[in-house]
Amino acid sequence: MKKRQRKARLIRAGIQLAFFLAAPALFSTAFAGVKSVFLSLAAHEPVGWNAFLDVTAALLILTCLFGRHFCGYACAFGTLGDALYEGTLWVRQKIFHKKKRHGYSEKTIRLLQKGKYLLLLFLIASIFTGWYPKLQGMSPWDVFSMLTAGKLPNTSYKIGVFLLIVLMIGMCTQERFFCQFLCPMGAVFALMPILPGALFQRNRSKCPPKCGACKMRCPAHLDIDGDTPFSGECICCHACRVTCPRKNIQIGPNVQEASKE
Amino acid sequence: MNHKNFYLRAASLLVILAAIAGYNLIQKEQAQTQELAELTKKVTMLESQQTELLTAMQQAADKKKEQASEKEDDTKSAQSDVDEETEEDSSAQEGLYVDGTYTGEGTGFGGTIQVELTLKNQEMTDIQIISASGEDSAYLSQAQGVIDAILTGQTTAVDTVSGATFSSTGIIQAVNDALGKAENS
Repeated sequence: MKKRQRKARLIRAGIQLAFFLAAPALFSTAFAGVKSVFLSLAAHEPVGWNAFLDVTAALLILTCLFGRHFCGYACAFGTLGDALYEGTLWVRQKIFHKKKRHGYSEKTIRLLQKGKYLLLLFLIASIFTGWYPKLQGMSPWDVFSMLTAGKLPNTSYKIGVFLLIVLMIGMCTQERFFCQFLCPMGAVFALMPILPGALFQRNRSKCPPKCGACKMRCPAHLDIDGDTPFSGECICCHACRVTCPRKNIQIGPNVQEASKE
Repeated sequence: MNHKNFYLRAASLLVILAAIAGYNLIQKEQAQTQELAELTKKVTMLESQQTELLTAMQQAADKKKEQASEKEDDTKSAQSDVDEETEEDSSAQEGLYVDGTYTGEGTGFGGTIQVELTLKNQEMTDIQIISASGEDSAYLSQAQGVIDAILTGQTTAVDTVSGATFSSTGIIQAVNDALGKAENS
């Protein structure tokens, strides 16, 4: 069982590293597309197509069809979060001999998850009120993008650098801290209608009573059961699937078919 | 086995997309009516100008007739000097820039942006990006909007592209650099 988990984690880490090196700007490009729509609306101009929206549309369509695999496997900021969390985990295990995966309680996570919608609303509101340009230099994404592009941010990015450091500390304390609680693009993804066939399904009838291993392992502590009010929070990390001792969790309707047999 | 959340979200997404499409249609209509209003305004203005001109010409003709009948006798009056067409073309020939193709460099988001600028008859006719290895492709293609702005305005004092500030600033810088090399010294 442990072997299966390790293999899945290594494959995922490899894919994440490849995307991190090849396309570290995808997430901010996708959000630039969302922003461009609201900038046009705020300027009372017709909403036109642009190169950012190519990326935005592609990612949103992929998400609707196959779930948020972009978030789980390709987003460079998510990869940064995973690296920091796993690094913290490693330090805790090696030095403090704590084996448990640390993180917040389910209740706290549910509450904080609403933060990303607030941030999205705040950004949209700032675009409409016209003081979005004043936020220049405050975006931790800009700072991150500069660093991945091999450029040092200048002094006008003081606040952005500070916020990035705060976020990185947060990322150490909870798996997928930023993605769940703050990512404005994650908020857009989480609102997408993901095809029910692309969601993780659980064959509950085969679950031992009071197991809950999947929910414990899930970075968002989701109750994995197909189409639920929180299924948009799933970033498709596949941890639940490989954690389940009875292999009860799968993407798509296979579980239903199996239960009918 | 009901996909309540999926249908709810799909419906809201469709509503949002429809709202944007509707907004665009309204914008288009508004732009058209505005254009129409401007054109009619122009036409009425031109018409009034025409009638004004015609009446003025008529009046002038009438006046000339009167004057001609009055001053038929003293025809030979002093001819004023009409010598003012010699010293003008010398500066235009030299010009500010020397025609040709120049390369320039600017700093974009992730490195140097190189452009090739073509000058013909003192005008910027073409700007090509030769290399921009540090730029993300989506940002770069978005930033290329400044090239059109520079070419149509024949100036580098154009607004940067929102969302692609660094890349467009880099392109403007590079064009300025190329223009500097083209300057007539």
